[in-house]
Amino acid sequence: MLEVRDLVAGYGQAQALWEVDLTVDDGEIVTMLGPNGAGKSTLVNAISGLIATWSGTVELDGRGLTDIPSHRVAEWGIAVVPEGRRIFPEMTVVDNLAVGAYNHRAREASEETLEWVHGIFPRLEERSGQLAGSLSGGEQQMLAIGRALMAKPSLLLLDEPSLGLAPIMVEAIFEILRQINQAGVSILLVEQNAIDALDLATRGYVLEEGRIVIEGASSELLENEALRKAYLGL
Amino acid sequence: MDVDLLAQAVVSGVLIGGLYAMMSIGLSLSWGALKIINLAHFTFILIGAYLTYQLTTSFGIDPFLMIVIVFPLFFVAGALLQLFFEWAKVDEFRSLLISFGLFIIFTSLVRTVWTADFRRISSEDNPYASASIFVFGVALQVPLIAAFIAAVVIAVGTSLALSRTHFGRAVRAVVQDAEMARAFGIDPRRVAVILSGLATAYSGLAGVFIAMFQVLSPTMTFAWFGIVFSVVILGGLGSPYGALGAGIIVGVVGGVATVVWGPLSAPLVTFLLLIAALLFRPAGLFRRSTA
Repeated sequence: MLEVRDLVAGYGQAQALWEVDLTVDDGEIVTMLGPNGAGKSTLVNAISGLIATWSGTVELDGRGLTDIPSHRVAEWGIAVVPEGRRIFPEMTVVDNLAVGAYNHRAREASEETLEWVHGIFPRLEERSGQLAGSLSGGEQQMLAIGRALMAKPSLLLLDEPSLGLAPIMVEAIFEILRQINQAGVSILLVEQNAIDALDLATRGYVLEEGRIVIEGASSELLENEALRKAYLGL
Repeated sequence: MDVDLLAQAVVSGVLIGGLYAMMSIGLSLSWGALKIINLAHFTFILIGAYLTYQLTTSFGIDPFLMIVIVFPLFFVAGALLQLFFEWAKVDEFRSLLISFGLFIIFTSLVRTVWTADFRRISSEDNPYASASIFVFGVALQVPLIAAFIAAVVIAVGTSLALSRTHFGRAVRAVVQDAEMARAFGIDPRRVAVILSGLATAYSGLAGVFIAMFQVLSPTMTFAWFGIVFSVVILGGLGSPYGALGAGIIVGVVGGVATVVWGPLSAPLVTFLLLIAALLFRPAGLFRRSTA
């Protein structure tokens, strides 16, 4: 469903990605591993339209995403859980979720989607009227994921959702990602937490200095010597 | 001290406070939500007033009918102005310089078209100027009552729109994180254009009411600067209710100070209030802005 070909992108003058190729098939969970500064966030931002691509193509179900205005990407079925969550801190939880369902396709179904999201994250229902900025870190991450689900995505992009969370919360979040995936949402998960990510994903890529250096099935990556040394500490 | 006079001052202060609020909501929204300190709002009020003068005088249009003419006209003007600001990549600081330029240009334009002579709608074309309603012996000018009602409608309507509608949530999302808002399908440019249109239309409306009971001159804007900036800052940026509350406070404080210490004391007391508020409540007296 997602096909990234020869993607080149960066910030200002600084190039961060070199001809990246990447696919996510229908119903798949794919993980993108790599150290800090490898360009993982740039990749997420380029796919979700937050930054302009320099060259290359990003296609979702055969439709090119690089030529449309970035505020249309949500309507086409891509939702992002960005690095640092970036919820709207001075809006209530329920208003954050409503913004998630802003695109026309999602807005029509927003009531049912809200029920679904509340089912996944009962905590968000309890905190409905509270300002998002007053939530705990874990709750904010739930809200960031919930907001993205409200957009009714076919592809969910997550940029380091485990960052700064307690291990038990990380486990809970990954379990929920599995549940979301079973509901039919494909997932591209950018992570530094390689073991949990490979455990969840069917396939993985390793990005280093803006280039894909390793790719393969999760089981293969777990066996890969170089990767084990660098990311698993084994 | 004359108690009747004081009561009259308080009641008139509340009503004129409504007008102050209407004059300020546009600038407050522009500054709070668009991050543009748009001094051109003072000239929108001025042009709204002169346009009301001209159309009522030339065609005998009822001044209140001017509301439905000015609102859409100024909405379009405000939307176009925002497109210009976007094209010129205006940020918060540069907006002061650029909009000050616009202020000068529009003021000259008004002076060219209507000269520096004082203008006032004749009483045949404007029966409301001298009309008053007496409530418990306190005289209430009809244009001021109307302005107050309009200000309440605008403040309540805008506030509800910001808190309850898709558009309002989009505005708040853009103010807090425009990039994230865009990722969820909100076009920040479209939001800004509509908001600027609304803000400008509100300022134009304030002009309609001013034309109903004041003598117009191209330099009358200078008297508004202190009042409007006090209201915007006391009320909290981007907060319609805040502007309404602050407008009433500034109106009443000014009115009472005039009665007690004379007319020259009104600005002094108002600005002392502003300084105190900046010291103790820098985010405005009514914290809970759109942001």
